[in-house]
Order: sequence, then C-alpha cells, then structure tokens
Amino acid sequence: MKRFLAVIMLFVVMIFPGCSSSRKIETAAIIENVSVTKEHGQLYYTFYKLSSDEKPHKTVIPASSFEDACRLAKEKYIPHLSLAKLRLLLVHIDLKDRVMQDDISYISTQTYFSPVAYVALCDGEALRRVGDSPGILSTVEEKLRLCQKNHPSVKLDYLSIFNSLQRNSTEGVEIAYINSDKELKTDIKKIFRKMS
Amino acid sequence: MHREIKYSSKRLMLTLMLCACSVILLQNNNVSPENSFTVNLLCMLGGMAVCAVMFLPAVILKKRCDTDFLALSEKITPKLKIPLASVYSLYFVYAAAYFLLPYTDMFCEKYYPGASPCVIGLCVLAACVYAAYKGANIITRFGIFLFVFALVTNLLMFGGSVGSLDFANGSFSLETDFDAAASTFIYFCAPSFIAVIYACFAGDTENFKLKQPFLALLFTALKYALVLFFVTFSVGAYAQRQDYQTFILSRVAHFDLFGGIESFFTALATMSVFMIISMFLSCINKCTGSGGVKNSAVFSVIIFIVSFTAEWNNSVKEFFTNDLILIIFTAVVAVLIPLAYIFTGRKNK
Repeated sequence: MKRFLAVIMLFVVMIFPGCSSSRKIETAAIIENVSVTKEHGQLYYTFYKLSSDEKPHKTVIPASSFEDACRLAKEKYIPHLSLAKLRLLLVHIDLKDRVMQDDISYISTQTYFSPVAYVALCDGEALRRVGDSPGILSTVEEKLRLCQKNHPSVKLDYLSIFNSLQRNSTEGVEIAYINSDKELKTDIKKIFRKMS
Repeated sequence: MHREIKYSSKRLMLTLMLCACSVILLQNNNVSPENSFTVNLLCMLGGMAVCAVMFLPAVILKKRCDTDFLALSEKITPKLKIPLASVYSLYFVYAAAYFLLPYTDMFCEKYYPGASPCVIGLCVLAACVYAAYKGANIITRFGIFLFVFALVTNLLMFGGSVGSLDFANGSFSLETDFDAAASTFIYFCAPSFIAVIYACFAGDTENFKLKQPFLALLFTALKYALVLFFVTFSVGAYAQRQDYQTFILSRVAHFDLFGGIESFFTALATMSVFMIISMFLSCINKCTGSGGVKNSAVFSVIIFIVSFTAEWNNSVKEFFTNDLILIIFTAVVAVLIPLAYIFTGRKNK
C-alpha cells in the first residue's frame, strides 16, 4: 500500500512542476492599463506594462479592435502577455462611438479580464500624461472614484457599462471623461447603444 | 464484508450538503439566460423537491430497520449481489466522470490555461483513491473543515458582490419559454445524486433524525437561491456572455480596492470535487464489499479512461455530462431498485 502511494506521489511530483507551458512571474508582461488613440485614420492600442522604472514601459500596436490588438500582442509584440491585472482602459474621446462598445463587448466574453476594472474616456493631453508619468494610474483611479461619489449615476467599470448598455438603448449611459489642462479633471459624457 | 465504525448521521448530512452545493460551483451555463430570476428560483425549488423524493426510500429504510439498501439487498437476495454491485458501480463511475469533466475543463480554461485536463484529472483521482481507502468516516471529518472554508468563501463572494447589486439587471417576471424552464429544472435535479450516496451509507450512521436530510436540502436550496440572486442582480447580462457564471461572481466580488476571490473559488471547487469523487469511490468499495485500495484504484483507472476518452471525443463528453441521463440513472438506483426491495421485504413479512 505504502509503496503504491509512494509511486503515485512520485508520479504527481514529476508531472506537476513540469507543465510545459508554465509562465514564470518574472518573465510575464503584466499589463496595467491600455489606451486607444487614432492617428491618420489608424487605431493604435498602447499597452502599459507593470514595472518599477521611472517611465512606464509601453508597446504601441496598430489594430482594428481590442480583440485584434490582444491577438497581435500575443503573437508578435508581447509573447508573455498577461491581461488578468488590467486595471484601466482609456479611450480617446473621438473614438467613443467607434470602439468603446465593441471593445467592452469583447472584454465581456473573456474571463481573464477583471469585470470590475475601470473604463473611461480621455482627451489627448490626459492620455499623454498617463503614458509619461509613473504612478499616475492610482491618481486616475482616485479621480474616477471621486467622480462616482459626486455623480452616482456614472458607470465606471466594464460590468456596469456593459449591463447599462444592454438595457438603455435610448437614454444612454453616463461614463467618466478625463481631461487635462494643468491638472487631471473628471467630467461626464454619455454613450448610446449601437443599433445593429 | 468491510465494516465501517458507526459515525454521526449529522456529519454525513453535512458532507452530502457540501457535495450538493458544489454542483452550482461547476455550473457551465446550465441556467438558461431566457428565464427570469423568479422562474429560475421556481425551477430550483422544483429540483430540490425531486431530490427530496429521491431521498425517501433510503430514509424509510433507515427509519424502519436502521439499515441501508446495500445491507438489505444482501440479506434478501444474496444471489443478486454481483449484478447489483455492477449497476451501482456503473452509476458511480458515470457520476464521477460527470463531476470530474466540468472541473478539469474549468481548471484548465479559467485557472491554468495550458495544463492538460487529463493530468489534472489524474492528480484529483490519485488523491481520491487514498481518501476512499481511508473510508467515508474520514471523508466526513474532512467535510467539517470544508464546511468552514465554504462558509468563508461564500461570505466573501456574496458580501463582496453586494456593492455591485443593481435590480435593473434582472426581472421578476413569470413569463418564460417552456424548453428553457425545463432544461433549468433538469439541471437543478442534479444534486439528487446525494440520495444514492446516502442509500449506501445510511446503515453506518447513528443518531438519525427525520429532519436531517430535509434540512440538508433546505440549506442547499438557500445556497442555490443566493447564487442565482447574485448572478442575476450583481453580474446581470455580463454573466450570460461567460461560460462559468458562478466563477465570474467570484471575480466580481470586491472590498474597496481588494477585488476577486477566484483563488478561493477554485480551491473550494477542487476540494468539493475531491470529496464527491472520494465518496463515490467509497460507495464502490461498499458495493463491492472491499475496503482495500485495489478496488478504488481499478475504478479510478476506469474513471480516468472515461475522462481521457471524453477529452478526445465530443460525443463521449456530451454523454457523460448530460443532466438528464444522470437524473434518470439516479432515479433508477435511488428510488426504483430500493423501492422494489422495500415492497419485497414487506411481502416476505
């Protein structure tokens, strides 16, 4: 009996750590936030990696949608991509009708995204500041929470925005808009459900 | 025949309740999105009523003769021992595969993409063989620990989802599609497998009270109702886009900046599947009259072969994860065969 169990345990110990496609934490590219912009008619998805450096590491990927950008990132640009810790998706204000709903719809089908991560609209200057400054992510999240405190009807995360869009086809859904002049400010914008 | 020391009936009921509750942890879109919360709740209550009916033969035997079905069958028809043991072992192999397949899928899809489902299945089965060798008494002791862990996980899951509650996400309407309601009702009959485990072990327990099985089903119904409530009103339409709705509920749970308790959820699912399959292997040991590790090992190899085949062939997988087949099979082994013996026993008197 003991010999039998020892053989089983040995077998388990041999195969468990040897899982071929295991991913080590030090080689994983953990993405904290993603921003979406448009230049010369082309959409660009910028993936910001978690790092302790002064300037955030970023990878800019030209793609037609977030789904496409994630696929390209895994295949070509960021082989050890991990999106499980994504905290914020920032969409340029000009793209609110073009990509916002499609990207949220894609995210809602994927389990590895946290359903309570934030989504917000942004102007060009605020996007630039988010990309350049270390630790700004926490400031943005704080601003978003403050915005919800002042305007309880505003929807901040994928979950509430997706659910609100599913039921409010005509009234629209209020989401946060981050803009910047000298400092980051939050405002509210409405988005409406696309009719297919 | 291998004899177990008598242990508390309450402890067995607690273990069975945890086994029944785990069905919803492994749920894979079996609750139809077309139904409102009220319809799903009614289907669940109907399913629990069916489970209660499945318990009746074993409860009657326990109350009247303080024995279980297996001991009675051995006494009345010793010649039928091998055919009966084969039917019950077949049932437990089917039921073990029914729980193992969704678990390995969930583990590999949601928690550890890239790992082979067969390797995960093999690890779970290896642990279950050892637990089955130790016997149902020891497994029910593990049930006490699991109960505490399940309580903490559920408190975190529900408490952390209260902040996301939005009553506009679901409806209380009674209008529904018959097919959608029927499939949900069948799904909620699945926990009746615990009646078969009870039919095997009822004779080994002491201090039985009639209310115990019904209290176990009541708490299972409460847990199911809470999961349905939070999935409908906290996750809403988002849940319908996901494969594992209860899993996504554990991801939505958050306390201020701390969010997601999917690791707790996966641990609870793992321990629940381990306990269910260990109980099934113990039942097989009891049916075949063996207390050693040999029988458990042979049957776990059969379960592994079934799981391995199901991973490669989709029709096999569909057969082994079909709710309706499990319910019909459960009705045969938990109600029809024991009832036949109860009536035969009465005639012989």
